[in-house]
Amino acid sequence: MTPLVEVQDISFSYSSDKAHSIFRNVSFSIRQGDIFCILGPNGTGKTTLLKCVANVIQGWYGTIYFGGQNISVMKTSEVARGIGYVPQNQTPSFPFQVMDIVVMGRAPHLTVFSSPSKKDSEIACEAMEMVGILPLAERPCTMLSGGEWQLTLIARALAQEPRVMILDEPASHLDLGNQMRILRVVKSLAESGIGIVMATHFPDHAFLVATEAAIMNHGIIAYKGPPDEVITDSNMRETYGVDVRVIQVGEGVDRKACFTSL
Amino acid sequence: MKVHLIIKTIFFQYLALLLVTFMLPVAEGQSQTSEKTRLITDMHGKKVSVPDPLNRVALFGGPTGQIAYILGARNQLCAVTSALKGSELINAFDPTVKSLPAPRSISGQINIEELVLSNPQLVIAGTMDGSIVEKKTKIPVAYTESNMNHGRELLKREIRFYASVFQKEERGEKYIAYLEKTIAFVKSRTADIPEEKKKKVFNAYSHNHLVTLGGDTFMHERIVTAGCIDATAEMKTTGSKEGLHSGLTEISQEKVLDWNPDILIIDSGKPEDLYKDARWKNITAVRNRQVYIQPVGVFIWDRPTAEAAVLYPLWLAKTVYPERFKDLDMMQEVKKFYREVMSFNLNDTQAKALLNGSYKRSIDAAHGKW
Amino acid sequence: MSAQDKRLGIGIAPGKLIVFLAFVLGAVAVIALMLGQSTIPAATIVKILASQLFPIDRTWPQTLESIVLDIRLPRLLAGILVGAGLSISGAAFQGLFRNPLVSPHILGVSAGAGLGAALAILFFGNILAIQLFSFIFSLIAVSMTYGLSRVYRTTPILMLVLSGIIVGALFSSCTSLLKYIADPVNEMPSIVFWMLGSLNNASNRDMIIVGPIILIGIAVLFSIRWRINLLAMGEEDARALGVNTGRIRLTIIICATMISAAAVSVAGIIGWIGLVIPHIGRLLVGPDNKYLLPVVVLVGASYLVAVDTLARSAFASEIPIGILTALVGAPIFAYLLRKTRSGW
Repeated sequence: MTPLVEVQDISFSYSSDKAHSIFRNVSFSIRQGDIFCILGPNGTGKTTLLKCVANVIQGWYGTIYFGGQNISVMKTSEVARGIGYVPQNQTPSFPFQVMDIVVMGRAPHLTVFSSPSKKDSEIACEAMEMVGILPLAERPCTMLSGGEWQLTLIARALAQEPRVMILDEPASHLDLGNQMRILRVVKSLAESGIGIVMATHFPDHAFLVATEAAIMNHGIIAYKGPPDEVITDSNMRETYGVDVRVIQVGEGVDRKACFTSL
Repeated sequence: MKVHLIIKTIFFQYLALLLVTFMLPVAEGQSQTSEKTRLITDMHGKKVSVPDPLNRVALFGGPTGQIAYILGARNQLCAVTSALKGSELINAFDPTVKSLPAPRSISGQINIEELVLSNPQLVIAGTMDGSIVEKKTKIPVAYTESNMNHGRELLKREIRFYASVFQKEERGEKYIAYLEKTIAFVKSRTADIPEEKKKKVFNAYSHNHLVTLGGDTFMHERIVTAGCIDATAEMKTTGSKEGLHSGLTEISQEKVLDWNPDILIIDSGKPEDLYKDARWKNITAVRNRQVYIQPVGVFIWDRPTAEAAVLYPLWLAKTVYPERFKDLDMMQEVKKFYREVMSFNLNDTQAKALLNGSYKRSIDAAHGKW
Repeated sequence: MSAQDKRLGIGIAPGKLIVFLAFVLGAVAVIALMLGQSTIPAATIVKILASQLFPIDRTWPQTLESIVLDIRLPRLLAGILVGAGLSISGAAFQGLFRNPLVSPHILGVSAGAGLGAALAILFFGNILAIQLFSFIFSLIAVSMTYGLSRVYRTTPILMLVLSGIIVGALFSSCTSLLKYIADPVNEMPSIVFWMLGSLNNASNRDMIIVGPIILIGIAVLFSIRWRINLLAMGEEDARALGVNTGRIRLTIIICATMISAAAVSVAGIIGWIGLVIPHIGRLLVGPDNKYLLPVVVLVGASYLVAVDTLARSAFASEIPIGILTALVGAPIFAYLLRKTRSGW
């Protein structure tokens, strides 16, 4: 099966000086139904990497393929029809209603001069329903909780009807309940055939949903593979500098989990 | 205890030193009283002591700078206003004006250093300028009184005041006589015009021709003297807004249409522009092609100047009622006035340029600062 | 969910609100044509206007027709075009810059226009030159701002704001210098008065030239108004949604600049409209530019015409309208700041 997204040996730096690169020699590929979790310390370039793959920033070295095509020669709207991007939490400037925000996801399918039609509104409603925020449709976005806002952005990306979704730390500021809510949504999206790339701080999330995991440190992908193999005691200690025990937990949980100690 | 005494002595010595330092200039000043002085009374009624002879006067009135020329007192000036220095006519007949410093640009804007360097014995100024000079220097100030609603009576007082300062009383009376004779002449020819035959006059200022002087200004008297009706008679404008010369105000296009003047005098642009403009075409003055350009002498004639007080009513009456002034040649009258009163011998070209308002593009002395 | 279902702002459906506002504008326009030195009855106004298109017996004097068509009509048109143009430019800029405190003058339009007008007053002294120069110099100022902002391309919005400040300061200080050397009796007051703004100088000839420029600018902004929502979410979010942010940013800047430059050339610098009217619009109909921009166009036009008509009817002499819009706009703005609950 041809991968949806294929990232080949890309690097990125803000200056033309390649020595101070944000990240380098990154390669991975995403197929339908994959959930690829990227872990790593703060400031290691995860966000920049995701922005490159989502075509939000330009200027990387190397090639990124979407559906077999090099995205740097594709039109931005064409890329946006296939790749949905959910950024990290940021405060909105204007009190758009949730509905207005989600329907913005239809933009790649519209011409410059048109605005959303009834059909677009229906697709947006479906997206809101899928993540469970349809009751919030008329709420101004400035009056949402962190979790609700995150779900709104996910719904917006969904309204793009993408084949790949890229999420940047979607559960960072959320309580336990909302965290699980988002992971459940991610899992069901993957089950419906969407490829997912997710940056996260929580190794347990990788154990819960990931089909493949990677650890990014010092600007390179240090480890990549199935979560069980990548997330180990020694890798965690090396990456985060803390004592971690990775233990298989039974008793109905039936997965590995990370236990830290002070 | 001894320390106490020492400190006390030093303190009093120091005090004495300070006092001496401050007494010295006063003593110096007083030593100058050995010069002759005389007393003049300014227009506020204040008595000012000035040196005799008085030959270094800084003249800071607005439109009154030309009075020095009328009185033949040019050589008694040591500083003038930048407006006078920028007058093309003055520069043509008195090129030495270029060498005079011009520390005052508009009311309230004085370069004190330049003023002091010109070493005046007396400053003649209006209220605002005079108070600045008094506050910042020790130069004696004689106040003039000049405002936008002053008519000929105030002008005559003004001329007599200046004449007393420059000790040119004879020239002053000569001008006043000329003024009174001209006014009487104009009145005699226009006094019997019946009310319904009188023409309505509107003086338009600024690029949109919608700025004007109200009926409570000096302009009203001139228009009435010339046997005309003042279009702006009902409007009071003295003491109004910042930004425009007090006495001027902007009105709407409709208001002019409502007044519907017979005669329109403009100070910028050409009459042809108004003949073509849809907004002006229904005004009687435009329909009858009676739009005229304001003449420019030392200054433009729509200001409260001494030259215009004589010539404007004459020119207006001739323009509006040419049939009553068939024997009057405006060019000759202009030449006569400037020759007899200011000793400026205008030739025909210059007199024509004056009446055409083409002396307007004057060399602005301030531009020379580049 | 259609336009009828939405309940935003004050709770009236946007479609109905827009129709209502259009009626308000129509009423204000007719009143503006009625009032002046003499009050002309509405019926006569309508007949005079209709007689331009259909053959109707003229039962009114020629001067009355001239007052309505040559004097009041261009003033009305100027009020509508300037009010609508500045309002929509302000709203578009607020979306573009993601900041509700932005006005159309942020990129230096007014500073440029002021310098152009001052130069024209000093060297040419006629109205045509003033209009031409103020227009050209507005464009020069904004081009300089845009060019300067391209120096640091990763934060385009911030760079635009900073460049606008720099260029604006440069042009303003040049204008101040010109005011200083200008002839204080004639030229300097002219410069000062021009900069305070006035609809007194509008003629039909001006409207023929300036009208299309403003209308085209409004039309283009109208056509991309929903896209401006995307920009309001941020540069990166917009790019993630497939928007060519550079191109749309340039389009908004060009349109808003052309509109403002044309408006300023004919009416001087009128402030507070581009800032306050979008806020009022958001109070009425929410931040969705799909409805905000039409509302803002109608409210802005009505507001400026109403203020101007009130001013010229209440006072014998002309008060510069820039002063009035500030006197009225600033308290309204303060009130709006207090009233907004759910953000801007």
